[in-house]
Amino acid sequence: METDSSLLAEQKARLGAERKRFAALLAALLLAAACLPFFTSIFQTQLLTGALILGITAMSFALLAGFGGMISMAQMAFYGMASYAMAITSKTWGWPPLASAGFAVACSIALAAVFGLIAVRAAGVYFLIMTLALLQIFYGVAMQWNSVTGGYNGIAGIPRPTLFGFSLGDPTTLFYVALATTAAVYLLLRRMLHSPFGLIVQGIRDNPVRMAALGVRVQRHRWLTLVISGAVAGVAGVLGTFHYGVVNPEVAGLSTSVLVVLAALIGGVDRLFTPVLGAVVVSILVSVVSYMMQQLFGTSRYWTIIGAIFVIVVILRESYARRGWSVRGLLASGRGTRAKSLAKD
Amino acid sequence: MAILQIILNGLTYGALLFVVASGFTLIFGLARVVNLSHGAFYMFGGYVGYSVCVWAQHLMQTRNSGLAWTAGVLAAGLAGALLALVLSWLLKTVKGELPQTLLTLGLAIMVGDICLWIWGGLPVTLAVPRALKSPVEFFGMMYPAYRLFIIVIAVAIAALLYFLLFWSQFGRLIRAGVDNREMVSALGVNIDRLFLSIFLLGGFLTGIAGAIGGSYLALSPGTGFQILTVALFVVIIGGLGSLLGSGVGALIVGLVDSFGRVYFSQFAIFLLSATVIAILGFRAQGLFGRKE
Repeated sequence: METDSSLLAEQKARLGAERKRFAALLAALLLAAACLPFFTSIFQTQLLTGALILGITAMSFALLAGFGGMISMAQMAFYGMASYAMAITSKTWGWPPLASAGFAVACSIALAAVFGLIAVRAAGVYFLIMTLALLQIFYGVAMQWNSVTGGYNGIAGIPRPTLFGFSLGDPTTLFYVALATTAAVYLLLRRMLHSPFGLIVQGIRDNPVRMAALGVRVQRHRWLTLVISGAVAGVAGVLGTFHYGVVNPEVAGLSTSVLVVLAALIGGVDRLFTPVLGAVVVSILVSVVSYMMQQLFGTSRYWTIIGAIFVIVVILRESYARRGWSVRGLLASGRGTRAKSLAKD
Repeated sequence: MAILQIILNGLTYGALLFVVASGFTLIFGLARVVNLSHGAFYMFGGYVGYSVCVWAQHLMQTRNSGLAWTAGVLAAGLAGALLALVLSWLLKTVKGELPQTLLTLGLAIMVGDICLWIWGGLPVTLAVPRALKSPVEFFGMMYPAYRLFIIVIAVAIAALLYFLLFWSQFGRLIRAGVDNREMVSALGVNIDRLFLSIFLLGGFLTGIAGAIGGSYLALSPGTGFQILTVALFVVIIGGLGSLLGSGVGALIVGLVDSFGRVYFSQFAIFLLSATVIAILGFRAQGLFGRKE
């Protein structure tokens, strides 16, 4: 493990120099975000809350795609698992909110853990297919298991709890909860990625054969990454039930997954924080496009435009990468927790 | 329900799935692209077939005409091939399996929404030819003639594909291209044209499957996602890129789905998922897939 420890030392030295600036930047950004509800309308605050929830999901995607080298279409299945668990326990069974939130995330973790046992054996496109199959199975179960999931209509009227005297039904309160959660998830994942575990995960992404030869249990690390990512998506799913108040099989549809991937692609998957910015862009984009389609053509059909934007973003990303700008996301530049290639061949 | 009828339901569904999955597996085998817009191809083909069929009936002033139906099926095939052409252009803009696969996701969303825009949200069905409309007696029970006809079509398509891939020069080049693209290209074969022809063939098959399936399973906005799901299950079970695998996988999925619907109703999807997982646990690359 000679090279590993020297890399680690280098990484630590770089971190030490940047830590203060990072803390200042993060504090400034959070403060700026926290001031937003004073200037925005309730609709805009809700839009931002939705963006943060999408952002957390996009972070879980970026963790797998950018750092673990696994492109997953299953994030919305983990999200949906938590949402349904939350809805069923808190509405149907009447559990207290914190207990059902904890249970919901545990459900996402369990789903990711069981699914991961099969999926981590596949790599590349095959992994993507497995995750897509999970998404579709989840969709099918949510649709068909009427007595529990409510079928096509899903479950509506999920209670919004009151925590420490603040009702989560209030858009501004929920925005702050979402903001705090986003920051907490970001910091935890960042810490994880800078740990030896995180470096191993990134090493596996770059060269699984070499990592295996170094004695690393490749599949176990990939499995753990998947489970962590599932937990993060589950946290987003819990917030989603507070925000939307309903859950239906569409959470696991193709179009919602497209939004997650789009947010991560616009932001860039080689950093942790940029997918959140990407999610803000995507949420505003969806809102603007649907409004424009309504005004210009009098129709609520806007997915064609979103799909076209998605295609264009994928193509642009590629052409940037080919020109050697090393821009893996459209917004990605400067510093931050970054998926840097560790293996130099 | 008689066991024979359940089996027949499974076989007819499996036959349809084979046509869908063969297009999927052809495109994957050669271009290594997981076509996430495959369900959208099916749906778009089916809808175009429906419109052409209605239009032809209107021209001929008859209902349930075999000619109008055939015109619809062929138009559906052409619509599928057209989408495949668009896809092959799009795929040229990016390199690498994963970005290309993401691209097909965007196309799926667009096509799905355009279909909803043009044909609306209500389910539609193609009018089956009069000759195939009435049930026939089959081993002492009445069974829709049209569904038996699907089996005939699927077997014919399977035979044609088998001949094309394993007995013709075209097929030899395709199989060589799957194994070593650069080498085939270096031998003076226009590999791009070869790939394009497979794309068109895959798109055509998926399109006609849309019209054939749309004649007994209704077409609706959710069809694309459903078809993508079952096509994926079929190729995961059978092994990606294997024609034989998609045949066997289609029969398994068709039969499991048919039995599940009767005996488990709400839990049919669990049964199907359990089958997929069991087979993957037993053979990670699918029944007839090659190990990477």
